[in-house]
Amino acid sequence: MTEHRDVREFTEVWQRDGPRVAAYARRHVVANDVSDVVAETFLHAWRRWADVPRPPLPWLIGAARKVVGNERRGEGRRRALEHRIVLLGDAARSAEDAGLLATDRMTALAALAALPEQQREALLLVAWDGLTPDQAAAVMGVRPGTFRVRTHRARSAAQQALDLSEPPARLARVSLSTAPKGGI
Amino acid sequence: MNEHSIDDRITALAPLAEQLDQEWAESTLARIVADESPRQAPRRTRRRVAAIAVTGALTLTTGAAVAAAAGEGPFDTVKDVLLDFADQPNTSGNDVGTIHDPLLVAQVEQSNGVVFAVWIATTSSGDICSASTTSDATWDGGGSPAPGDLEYGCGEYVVDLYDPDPNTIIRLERPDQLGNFFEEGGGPVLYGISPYPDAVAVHVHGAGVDRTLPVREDSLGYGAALPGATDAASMELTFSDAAGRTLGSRTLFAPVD
Repeated sequence: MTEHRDVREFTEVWQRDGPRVAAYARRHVVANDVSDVVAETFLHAWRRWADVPRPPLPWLIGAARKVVGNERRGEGRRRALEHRIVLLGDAARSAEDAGLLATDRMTALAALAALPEQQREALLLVAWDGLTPDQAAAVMGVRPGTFRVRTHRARSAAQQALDLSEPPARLARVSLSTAPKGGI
Repeated sequence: MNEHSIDDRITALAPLAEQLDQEWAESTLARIVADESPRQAPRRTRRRVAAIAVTGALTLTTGAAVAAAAGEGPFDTVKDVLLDFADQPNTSGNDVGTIHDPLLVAQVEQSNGVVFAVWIATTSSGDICSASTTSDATWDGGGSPAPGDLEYGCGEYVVDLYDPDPNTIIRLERPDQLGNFFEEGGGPVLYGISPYPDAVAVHVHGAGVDRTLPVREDSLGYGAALPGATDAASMELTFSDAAGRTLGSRTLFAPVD
């Protein structure tokens, strides 16, 4: 009886959260490996289903993160910036779907890719995976305060990178209206 | 300035949830639920419960610092990060006034060689600020921790460790409400602040632990690594003064889940 209930609930979670785990995996591994990450993550979940907290998504994302880590260690190499941009680009919405210019999309992805791994992960667990900051902190194994500081730094660094990448004309237009006469 | 902030752009780029390939999803699900590997037994873990669950950071000012003696090194770093925190654009809120110099609550060397430390600072408005080394800090106790090794905030909400209900959250309004019992890579660590101004020692009694810790004269803080306390669900803390008189006791409920 319990087994049947487990299967039914697990199936619902698989259908509901599987795509979200896949979306998480898509930005960390090449497309061919995404399904492997999803399958392995849910296999881990099934083997300890009684212990998996509800709602299970934060736990699943945390498990996927470990699976991805193993995949990366298996590859035995650091990922280059260009490779990270490609992965993020594959995972992110298209410019059209996002309502952004293609150049704005690219500068945002480049700013994200240039962040240290931990900072990028902190931002995206909330912004892309839909976790609360506390859930994301648990996924990363840090305290909420640490997570808060990490996201703050990430946001500042990414915004700075974005500002530097903006076309000069746009900056000039703003500065004309705000800088005092005879300024810098 | 940008037409879209980085937050706007990142959020806009959140992936659309693409359904899994139906054929693959069905066959993989069937394979998973057919897995007959032994289910792992439930494991009780003791996680580091957030002593710092900030719901809103407050504005600090850089007025002249007074109060207790500040040393060099870590104290200056802690004060710098708290003041810097006040200047950040996303921490504007109620004004806490002048931050007084931070005091060390506890500095504990864990079995993995990493030092955990926590500081507290009062403010002219009566708010409490605190800073502690982060879970992933690697500070060994020498010199100052890097600012990146610290987490910090003011006007925080904390888990009430003295309420048996682990979900009780309170606003940090008195120093002695700050404390924690947690376990991470370096084994169990306890720290707190005495509610009794005359306390010089606290006796800690619980499963796997029966020892007396000194209470700091300046902050009234105490703390230690308690390697034998991995199974403790609660601990009795008994405070005593210099003459050995018992001042009072309180029960700390370990955040076990």
